[in-house]
Amino acid sequence: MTETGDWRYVYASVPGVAHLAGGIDCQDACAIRLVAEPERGPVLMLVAADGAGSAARSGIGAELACRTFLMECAARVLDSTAPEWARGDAEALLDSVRTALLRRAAEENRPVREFACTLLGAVVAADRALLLQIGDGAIVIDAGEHYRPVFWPQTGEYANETRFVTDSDAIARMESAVLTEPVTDIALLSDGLQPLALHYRSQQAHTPFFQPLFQHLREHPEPGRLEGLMPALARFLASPAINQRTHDDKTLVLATRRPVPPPEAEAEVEPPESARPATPSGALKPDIDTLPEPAATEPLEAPRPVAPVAPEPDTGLATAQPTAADGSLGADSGADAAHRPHSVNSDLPDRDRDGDEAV
Amino acid sequence: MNEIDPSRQTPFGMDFSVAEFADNPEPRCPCMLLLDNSWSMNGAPIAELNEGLAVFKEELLADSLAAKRVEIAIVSFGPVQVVNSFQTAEHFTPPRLTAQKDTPMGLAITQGIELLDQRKALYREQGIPFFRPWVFLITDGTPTDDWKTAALEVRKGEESRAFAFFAVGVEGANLDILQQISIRQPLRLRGLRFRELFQWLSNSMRSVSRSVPGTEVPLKNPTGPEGWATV
Repeated sequence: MTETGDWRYVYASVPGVAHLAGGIDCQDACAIRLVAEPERGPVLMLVAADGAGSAARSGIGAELACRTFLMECAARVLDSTAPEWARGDAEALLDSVRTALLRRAAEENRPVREFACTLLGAVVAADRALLLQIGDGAIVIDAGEHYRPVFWPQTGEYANETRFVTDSDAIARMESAVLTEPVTDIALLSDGLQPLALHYRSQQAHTPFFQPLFQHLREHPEPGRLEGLMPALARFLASPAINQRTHDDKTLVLATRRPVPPPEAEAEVEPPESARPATPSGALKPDIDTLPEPAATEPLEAPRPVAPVAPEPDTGLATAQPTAADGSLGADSGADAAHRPHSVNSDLPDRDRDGDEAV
Repeated sequence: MNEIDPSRQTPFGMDFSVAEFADNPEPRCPCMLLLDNSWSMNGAPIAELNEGLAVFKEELLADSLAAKRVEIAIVSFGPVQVVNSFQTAEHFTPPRLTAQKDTPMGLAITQGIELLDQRKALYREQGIPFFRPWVFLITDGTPTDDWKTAALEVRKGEESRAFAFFAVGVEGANLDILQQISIRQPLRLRGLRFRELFQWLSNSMRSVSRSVPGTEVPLKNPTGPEGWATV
């Protein structure tokens, strides 16, 4: 085992077409941090957060949530006196994220719901893992030949409802798990990718979505953060093929420590030609069939603000940083939105009773 | 870090696109229309109502997402009849309603809610996400049957957030009773502005059907100076 624990990882958050059209920044954020823990070997910490649709500062909330999660994780992990992981650890992590958001809201003198976001978090050590989730999106891990979501996305009764870190009952509603088996592949994804990566009816992960992605990571010669693949992942997430299927922001975090493929596969050091014809039938092909082989032309659609990927080492949050996200969106005031910031339809009748609108 | 240089980076990028996507149904946004076709609707009102229904479909089709997500069902009353069971806007065929008999509004409401419950059960069974349904009642009269049971069911449904119920009175409607049925303030249709009403309804459905968690659904006030309704 190397000091990276043979982990190979990439992550990216990109704005959805709905946000691009509305001139809104990406409200997803994500990050990975690898910590060398002397006694237990390297520990990988992964996090993703999805800012609430119309909450004015939710992009900032998502980024702050990710940053805080990683900081708190590192503090706990490096505390080698810590006993076995338990739900209490997950609760403490969520609590510190909530505290950070509340503090930030107080500093800015804004209601905390404007910073509302979901949270997916994972801490993976050599032989155990701690996972937690509040809201939608999914954490997917390997399960034999297949992949499985550790928790099912927390949607409300309706498609436009979910839970947020900022909900008053978030800690009670949070799902958590402590696994005592080694996790070798792990993905975190925001709800923008849910319809592509999960089967709603069977409540399973769509293995053909994950397999090639992890395979691609494994084929990379060096372990660690795969800098070369980070922009490629962002472009994949912003590709027309994905945008045709989802209009929301999209986050994907991928990490694998499964052994690299056997030597004969290793011999071919990532020639693009070798991978492309392997596209299985029914798989997503490059969206322009006439794409020249080395892709002299940009195959993606018109220029888009791809999220700045990995701007800084280690804790670099992959998010389009909204600097002035308020104002344009800040009109959703009113007490009715305060008690149920996430339930859209439910706001309607309440507001009606308040007499703001006749219907 | 490496700049984004398409010609260099694309080979990697293309490899990610080998991922195969799951095929999930679109989330659905059910809209139940309860339409009065009692004899008093005869003439211009029923003609304008029919015209409005055609506009409704047209406007929904103009939005590719709404066309796939909004599902419409129609129960007419006078007598009670399921004219359209739930279908996406794409497949919805606007009916030509004719004015017939009395105004069994109570039965229409309970039957509409029952259809809605069945639809929701089907969504759940199939793992199809859905938005909070709307029930939209349009009448020009006074119920000729027991409407109190229906009013109770509407109240129950609103309280459990099972649906949002809206009532619109065309000239001659008994607004007092509508007020007892609907938790939301019933609206009076201005003249025969069915067309504008259905434009508003389709806009609202479009907003709901693309909303994501934490989004405010912008609804235009229909009682504005240019709107189709008065209180």
